[in-house]
Amino acid sequence: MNDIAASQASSVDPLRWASFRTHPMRSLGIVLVLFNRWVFGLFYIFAAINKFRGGYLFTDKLRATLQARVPELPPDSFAVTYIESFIIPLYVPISWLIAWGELAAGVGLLLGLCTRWAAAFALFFIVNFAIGGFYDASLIVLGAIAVLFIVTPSGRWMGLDRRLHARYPGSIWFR
Amino acid sequence: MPTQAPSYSLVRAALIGLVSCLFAAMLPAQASDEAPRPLLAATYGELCTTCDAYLLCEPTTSSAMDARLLHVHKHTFWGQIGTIWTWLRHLFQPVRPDTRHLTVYQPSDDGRWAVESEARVTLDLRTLRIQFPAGWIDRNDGGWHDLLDQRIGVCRPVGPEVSSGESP
Repeated sequence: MNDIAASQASSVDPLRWASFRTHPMRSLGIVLVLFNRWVFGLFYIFAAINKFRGGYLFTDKLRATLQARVPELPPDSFAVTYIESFIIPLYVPISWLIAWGELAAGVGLLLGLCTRWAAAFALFFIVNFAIGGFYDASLIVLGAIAVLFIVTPSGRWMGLDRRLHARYPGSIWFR
Repeated sequence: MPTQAPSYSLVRAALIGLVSCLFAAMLPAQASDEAPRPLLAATYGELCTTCDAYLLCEPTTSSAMDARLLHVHKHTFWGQIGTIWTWLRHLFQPVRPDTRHLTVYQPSDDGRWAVESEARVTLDLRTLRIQFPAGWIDRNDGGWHDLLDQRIGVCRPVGPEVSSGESP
């Protein structure tokens, strides 16, 4: 049933006027989701670029950032434990994971390539930022937006997943 | 039976886009040396959205002013959500002022702190000033200035416990 609904939704081409005339609300919803996906993808790409420009890969910037953050947090909070016992000891691989992961998520969302996985990756980062001491209410919104791209076939509405899913219909990467 | 043409051109376009992003990211890498951080600034810019900050401003000996304690409040729930828009604006205008709620305390007769006023404070990394209705603070050296730009004292960050303690 869900596959049928997804198939019907993915058959709507949001850039065709005929789609707007026959399915106005659905087309409008698709356009809104796609617009959000592109903005969200750019958001992640620029976040990754900031990491690269900030020297995340080859300096101890992440460790310094977190060490500066710890005194601002309640000493008995989970965030402090998470930072001191997990992130700081492993700051080198985690710095690489963050910088390259944000770039991968951003590019995936922007191009509609492995879109659901890119969104899941983005959500993974958001959750980790939140539990790693950088929680604020904006992460709720960003997390909800990421979930939107996980549950909808937005890469098949417009993106590389559309062609790749047609070519590899059994693949879990382009659903 | 016709088969669907492989989407090599799209994949190639995606790869070119990816490589372009990588080059753009790599080019102007910053030096790792950290410059001294301006007063109330965080690693990535302004004071973090969930942080409260306190500044104790003490007058110079020649000033007739009393000390003041400034409480710069964290952003509200909706203010924190609004930072998404602020972040997007930063893509086009890298430095923009951040405005927050401010409580100003003055010494009371019983030697403690009493609320003098509530106002808005602007944190600005471009001008390196913390601007509030009664004056401004230089974010480089903590210099406390009145509305006539006269330096009347110096401000330093303190912990929140100061607000419930004795005033100087």
